[in-house]
Amino acid sequence: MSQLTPSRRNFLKLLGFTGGGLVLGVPLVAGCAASTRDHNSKDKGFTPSSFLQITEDNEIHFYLPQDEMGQGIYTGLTTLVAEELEVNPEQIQVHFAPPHKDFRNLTLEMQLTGGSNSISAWFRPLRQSAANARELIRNAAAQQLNAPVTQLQLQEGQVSWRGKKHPYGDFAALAGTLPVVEDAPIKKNGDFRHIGKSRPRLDGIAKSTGTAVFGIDIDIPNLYRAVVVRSPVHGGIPKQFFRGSLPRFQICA
Amino acid sequence: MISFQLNGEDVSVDIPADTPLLWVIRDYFKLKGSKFGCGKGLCGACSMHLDGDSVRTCIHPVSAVSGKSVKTIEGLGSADNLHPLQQAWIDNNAPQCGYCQSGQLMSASALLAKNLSPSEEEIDNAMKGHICRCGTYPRIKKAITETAKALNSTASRPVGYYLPTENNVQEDKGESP
Ligand code: FES
Ligand code: FES
Repeated sequence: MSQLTPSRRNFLKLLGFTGGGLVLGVPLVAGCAASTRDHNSKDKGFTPSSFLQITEDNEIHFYLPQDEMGQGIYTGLTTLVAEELEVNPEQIQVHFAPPHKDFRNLTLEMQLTGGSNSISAWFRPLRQSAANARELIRNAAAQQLNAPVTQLQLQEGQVSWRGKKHPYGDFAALAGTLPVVEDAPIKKNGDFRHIGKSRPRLDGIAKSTGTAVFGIDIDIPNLYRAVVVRSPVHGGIPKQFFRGSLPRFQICA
Repeated sequence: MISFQLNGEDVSVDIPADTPLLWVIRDYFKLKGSKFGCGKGLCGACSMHLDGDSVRTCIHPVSAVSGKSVKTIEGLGSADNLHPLQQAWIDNNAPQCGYCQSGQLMSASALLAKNLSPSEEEIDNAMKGHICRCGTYPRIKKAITETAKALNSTASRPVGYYLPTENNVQEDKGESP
C-alpha cells in the first residue's frame, strides 16, 4: 500500500462559486487532466466533483467518496467533516459521489471501497478540507462583520460575534472569493466532539423506512433485470437450454 | 386485470398473472423499499403484509392477491410518521447495510399487530427465515422486545406511538399524533 503523501499546496482547491456559495474539494494531486468538468469555471454553483459545498441558504452538502455498504462509512466520514467544520453531523446533507478521479481513495489509488481502509485513508484529508473550509468561513465572517478574526466563535454551523449568531451560509458567497486556506489547524485527538462518540447512524431512518437507495433500485430506460433461475432441487443441473428463446440484449462496453 | 389494495389504495394492474408480487410492486408501482434477495422464498427480503400476514412476495404470484390488501414498507411508516418498530430500529442502530431490513420490519410488525407480548420463542418463530448478511439479529430482537414493552405500557407510550391497525389487539386510546 502506498504512503499517503498529499502535497499540502494542492491539498485543497477552491472550485467554482458564484451562486453556489463555497465549494471545496480535496483533489490531492495537482491538476485533473481527465476531469470531465471544468473545476475552475466561475459560473458553476454546483460542482459534484468536489467534496463540500456550503450554499448561501446555508445548506451543507458533502459528497461521500466511499460506498456505504453497512460498514457505516456514511456516518463515519460525515462525522469527520462535521468535526472540523464545527457543525453537527445531522446538519450535513450527504450525497454519494459520482465516479470521478477526485474521489479516488488515495491509499488504494482508485475509487474503491474495501480493505477496511475508508477511515484511515480519509481521516486527515477530509478533516483538513473541512478545517480549511471552516477557516474560510471565519475569514469571510471577520470581513463581513468587521470583527477581529480571533474573536469569532464557530460552533454548530454558526459564527458567534457579540452575542449574535450567524449561519455559515451568510458568509458562503464571500468565502468563495477569498484566498484559499491550505493548512488550517485540525483538532487534537482529545478535542473531538463527534469523533469517537456513539451516535445513531445518519442513514438509520432511510434504512428503516425502505428509502435507502441500493443499486437494484435504480431505473434507467430500457433496463432489463435478470435474475438467476435456480434449480428446485439441490444439485440439479439444466437439461436443455434454448439460447434463441432469450431476448437479445445490446451490451454496451 | 388484477385489482387489490396497496397501502390503503385501490389499484389495478394488467400484468401476466404469474408475475411475482414483488416485481409488480417494484417495477410497476415503483415502490423500491421491498428487496429482492433470493427469489425462492428463502431470505425474507421481499416480505410484505398480505391481509396482515407477512408473506414472501418473490414467490407469490400477483393473481393470488386479487381482492386482498397488500402493505409494503412504504405503507408501514415514513420519516415523519414512523411506526414504533421503525423508531426502535433507529434507536437501536439495527440496520447495517439495510438490505434485509424492510422485510424484517414487515414480519416484526405483522407479529406485533397480533401479539403484543410475544415470548422470545414467538419472536424467533416470526423472524426465522429472515436472513441478514450483516448479522443484525441481536439488535433486531432487542428492538422488537423494546417496542412490545413500550406499546404494552400505555403510560410510557410516547406521543405519536400508535398500534398497527390490522388485527388490532388493543386500540390505542392514548394521545394521537
Ligand atoms: S427474495 Fe423473497 S424470500 Fe428472498
Ligand atoms: S442489514 Fe445488511 S443484510 Fe441485514
